[in-house]
Amino acid sequence: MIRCGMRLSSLRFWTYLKQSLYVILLIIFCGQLAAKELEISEQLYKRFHCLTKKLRCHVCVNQSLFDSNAPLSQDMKNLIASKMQSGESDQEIVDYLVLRYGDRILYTPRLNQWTVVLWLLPIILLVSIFLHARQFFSWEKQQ
Amino acid sequence: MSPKFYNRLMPVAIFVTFLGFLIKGLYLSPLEKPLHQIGRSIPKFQLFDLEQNPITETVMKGQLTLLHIFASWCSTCQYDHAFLMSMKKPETFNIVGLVYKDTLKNITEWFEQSGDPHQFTIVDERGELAMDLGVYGTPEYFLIDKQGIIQFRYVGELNDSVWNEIIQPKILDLS
Repeated sequence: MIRCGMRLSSLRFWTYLKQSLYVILLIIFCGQLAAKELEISEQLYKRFHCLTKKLRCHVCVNQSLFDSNAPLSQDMKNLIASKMQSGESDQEIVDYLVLRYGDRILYTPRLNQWTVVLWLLPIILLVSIFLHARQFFSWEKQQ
Repeated sequence: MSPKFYNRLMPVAIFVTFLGFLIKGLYLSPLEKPLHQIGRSIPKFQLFDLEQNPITETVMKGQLTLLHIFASWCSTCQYDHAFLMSMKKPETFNIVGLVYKDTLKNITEWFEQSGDPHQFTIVDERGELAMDLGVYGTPEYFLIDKQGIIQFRYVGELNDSVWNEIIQPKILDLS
C-alpha cells in the first residue's frame, strides 16, 4: 500500500512538474510574441503604456486601447508606437486620433461646449448641497 | 415658498432631474452619429486601384462621391454589394470603393464573379487610408462633395429604407 502510494505521489509530482514547465514555457513564449509585436524601446514603452491606457478601444467600448487585442486597436497601437518613435508628442498623437475618431476615444472628456455641463455639474451639485444643508440646519435651529 | 416646502422639494427635484439624464443616457449611442469627421477635407493618399494603377485623392474631387468602405471578409458587405449592384448606375455622383484590409486577389475574384458597382476602387491593404478617415468597421459610407470635403457619414448596412430615407435625401441636398 505504502509503496503503491509513494509511486502514485511521485508520478503525480512529475506530472505536475511537467505541466508547470509547459505553463512556464508558454508564458515565456507568449511574452516574447507580445514583445515582437511592438518593436519599441523600453523608455518609450512607459510613455506608450500611459497614453494607451487613457484611450478607449473603438471595437470593445469599455476596454482601453492598451488592453484591447482587437485588430483595429492593434493598428492604432502600431500607429501610436511609430508616431512616438518619429518624435511626436503625446498631445500631437491625441489630437491626431481625436480628429479622426472623435472625443469618444478619450476616457477623460475635454472641456468644450458639449461637456461643460458634465464638468460643472458636480461642482454645482456640491455647492448647492452645501448651501441647502446650511439653510436646513439654520432653519432647524430656529425651530 | 416656505422653507419646509423648499427643503422637501429640492432633493426630490434634483433626484428626478438626475434620473431623467440617466434614463436618457441609456438610449444614447455615440456610435450612431459620428459627427467629428464632417467638414474635414479628404486626406491625401497614394494607393493603387484594381488594375494596379496609382490612384490619389483627386479621384474624389470634381464630382459628388459616395465612398464605400468594404472588404470581402465582411459578411454585411456581401449584402451591400448586392444592393449597390441592383441600383442603376448613378448619374449625379460617383461610387468609389475603398477596400479595407483585404487583398487585391480576393477582391478581383469577388468582382469577377458578381460584378463591380464602383466607378473607381482603391485598394488599401494595410488600412492606412481607412485609419486616416477614422474608419472603425465595415461597411461604412462617406459623402464627399465636389471640393473634396466630407459632408456626411453613415456606418452600417445599406438597405432600401436606409437608402431612401437617409442617404438619398443627403445626395439630393448636395447635388
